[in-house]
Amino acid sequence: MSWIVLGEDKGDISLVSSREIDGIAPKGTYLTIENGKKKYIVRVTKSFQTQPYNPSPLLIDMNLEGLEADKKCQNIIKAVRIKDISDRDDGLIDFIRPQLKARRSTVQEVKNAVRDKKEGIPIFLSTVFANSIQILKDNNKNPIHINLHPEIFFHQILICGKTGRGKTVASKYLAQFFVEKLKGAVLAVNVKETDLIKMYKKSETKEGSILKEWEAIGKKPHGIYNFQVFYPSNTSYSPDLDIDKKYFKPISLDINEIDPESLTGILNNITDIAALHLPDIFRHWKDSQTTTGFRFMNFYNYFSSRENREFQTLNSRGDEAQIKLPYGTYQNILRNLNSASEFFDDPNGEFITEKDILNRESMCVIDVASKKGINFGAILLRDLLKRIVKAKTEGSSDVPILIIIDEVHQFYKNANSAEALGDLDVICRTGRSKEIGVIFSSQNPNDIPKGLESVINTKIFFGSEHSVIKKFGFNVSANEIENLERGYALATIYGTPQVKFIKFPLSFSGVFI
Amino acid sequence: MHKFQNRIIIDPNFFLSVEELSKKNIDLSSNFEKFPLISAEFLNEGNLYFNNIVAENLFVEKGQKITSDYIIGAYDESINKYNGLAGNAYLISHTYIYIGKKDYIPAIYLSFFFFSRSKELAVKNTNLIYSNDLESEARKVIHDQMLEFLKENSIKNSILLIDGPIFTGSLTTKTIDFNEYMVEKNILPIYIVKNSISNLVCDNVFSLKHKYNSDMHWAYKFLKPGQRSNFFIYEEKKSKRRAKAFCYLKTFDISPVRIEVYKDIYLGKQELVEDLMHLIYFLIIAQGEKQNPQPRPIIIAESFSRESIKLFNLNKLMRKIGIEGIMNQNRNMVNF
Repeated sequence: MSWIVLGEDKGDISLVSSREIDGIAPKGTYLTIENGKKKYIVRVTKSFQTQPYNPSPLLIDMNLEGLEADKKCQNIIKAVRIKDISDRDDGLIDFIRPQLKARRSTVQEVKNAVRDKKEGIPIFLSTVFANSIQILKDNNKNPIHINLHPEIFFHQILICGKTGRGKTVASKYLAQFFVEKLKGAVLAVNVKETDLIKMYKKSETKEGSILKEWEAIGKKPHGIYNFQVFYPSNTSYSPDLDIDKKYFKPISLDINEIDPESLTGILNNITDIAALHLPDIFRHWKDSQTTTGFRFMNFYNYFSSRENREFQTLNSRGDEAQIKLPYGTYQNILRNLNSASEFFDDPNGEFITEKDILNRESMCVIDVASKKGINFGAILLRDLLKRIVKAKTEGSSDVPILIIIDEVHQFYKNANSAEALGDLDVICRTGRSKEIGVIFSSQNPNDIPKGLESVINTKIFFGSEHSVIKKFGFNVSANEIENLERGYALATIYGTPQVKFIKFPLSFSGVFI
Repeated sequence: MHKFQNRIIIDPNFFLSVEELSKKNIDLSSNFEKFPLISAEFLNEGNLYFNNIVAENLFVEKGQKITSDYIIGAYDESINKYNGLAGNAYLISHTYIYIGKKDYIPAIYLSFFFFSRSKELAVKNTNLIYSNDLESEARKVIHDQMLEFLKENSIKNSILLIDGPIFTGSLTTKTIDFNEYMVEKNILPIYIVKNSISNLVCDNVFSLKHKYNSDMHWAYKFLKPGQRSNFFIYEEKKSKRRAKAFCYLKTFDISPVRIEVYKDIYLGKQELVEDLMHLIYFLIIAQGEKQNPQPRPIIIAESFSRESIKLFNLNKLMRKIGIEGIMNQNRNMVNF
């Protein structure tokens, strides 16, 4: 079974199938070109069929069979060089000469070529031809998986794709690896249905292919042992959801503890500059309180009583000032304070801090999928992020942390969340040194706050619009990307640029299909 | 002078595929002299025999069926010529293919000759040939080489389609020997002639005389697409071995082709040869080129031949060894 090198054209190696090959090597296949002891691993980037003896249209029109020899097909391949296995040390690169033979790479050769990390994150390589995508298999038809370097977590990850194509499941898979293998902590924000809140349960499936994939990587489904869902105490779960209450904890915001800057999270439809006044007004008010144990309503009453809209302010440096809010801004803040009051000071809900999150081998989910939940999440997430960064910076915690913001486009539709994500920019840039990783999940990469793209080093696209991924420089057709089946993705992965088409194993927890 | 090594390139599957096809057989033995000689007319140089002048319909389905009954081979050659000041160089690619089970299987023989009127240059090497008539010497050498190549490489028990006439100029004896040798190996050579101004039929059939420019012209008018003429036998007066059977075959509404076989083969296997006209009709349709009505295997052989000759750049090779081209050679205006 071999392909024969025809030559090189603009960086692509051209190969043609030999007579004994009876099929097309799909895009993503790895081939090994042999030249004595030297080997060159290449990845197929284009693959198509050609007929060296095109049968006459006249015959076809006459409904005649024609000559069997005229039905001969060949597979023409374009491939990129991935790795040379050569002892050459003169600083030059070997030619890949015409007429060298290539065969399908072995599992070990593929692993070497993509710098497989033994204790890394197992994913399957996949191949694509026309609209058909499948897991790359070795000559014994076993799926080939490689292990991605866990460092990818701290170089930030973007996961995109249309609903139902696998981005949330991939997030779960990565989260579970982070908890169990890196012994880290995961903080995830659940914004949609029950996506992330049942990861204490093992996944269930009857799909044979998924069971086979788990078997190939030597894993079985299991829930996350240290798992906790925090939900706003003013909401509740329907009994239909079939949840185990012991994993669920109601939480509330504590006006005594909350960082004043986080209060901007409650504001909607207000300019960023106008929003900046609220923390300073709140800080001054809080500073002037002579007793502890005050409540959010106390601040609300203070704010609403100032009909002249004149307020004393105290900024984070301790500078006092006075401001008169424009009527519109005042009314807007007042309305939002009123609306947010239900999130605060509920005796049935605990106030959580970084200490509830930064625990080894644990996963916490803040469930903000309920009505108004996004506003609640915007305040809490901002507060928690500040606390986590502070704890990591000051060295009070050495627990690696992964923050997952699923369906970030929903979260971001709220202007306040944009501000919260502004903090994420800082985290992204310092993540590697502090072992803080962020996974952004979104339908559209354009939903990611501007400026973050450059610090996100791993981008994974499940079935997406071609126009959306075009700007990321992928050389794929619209059909290929838009018709990616569930679980399959096109990726550019930090440290493993040789890999393009991948398939995530199904998460071991929290998926029921 | 740089010595060119003639080389033969044989597909690795050449012999394997032969075994696969060995069940197909052709028997050319016995049954001679069955041709009913009802009418015969005489030429100055030879005799033309035929029965009635008739048009026979050809059936593509019948031809298709025959493809699975016999091994079908074909020959073609490509020639690169270099006109040098010191003589003429020829790079020749002789190509034989046969239709394998799922592919065309080629054997290619690349050869090189240099013909010169300079004895000094030409005597020391078998590939460097002295001659006073370079052109005709070249044709003779190439033709001989073709016959030897086909004798050595054609598959036994097969049909062999050759582009060109059975007899060319003065090369008769070797051609006759070749055909007789092939019969012994149960190989049936069939020659396909596209362009010809021969008048064997028109000059010797009274009713056709002076009515047509050539036999091709007559056949074009006489035949409808999908028809062939009856077979004629032509035998030279001087040498009765120089004899052939031929008919005209029209596939499309353009100039027909002439099909020639060695007379003895035709006489021995008249029914088979006539059946094979359906095969040739089918193979021309299989190729499907109305402007170049050739049986498909010949076109495939031609393609292999053209590709293989590209392996060497004759112009470059000649200049490298110091043979300067004549003016037209340097202007790429040389034809063979």
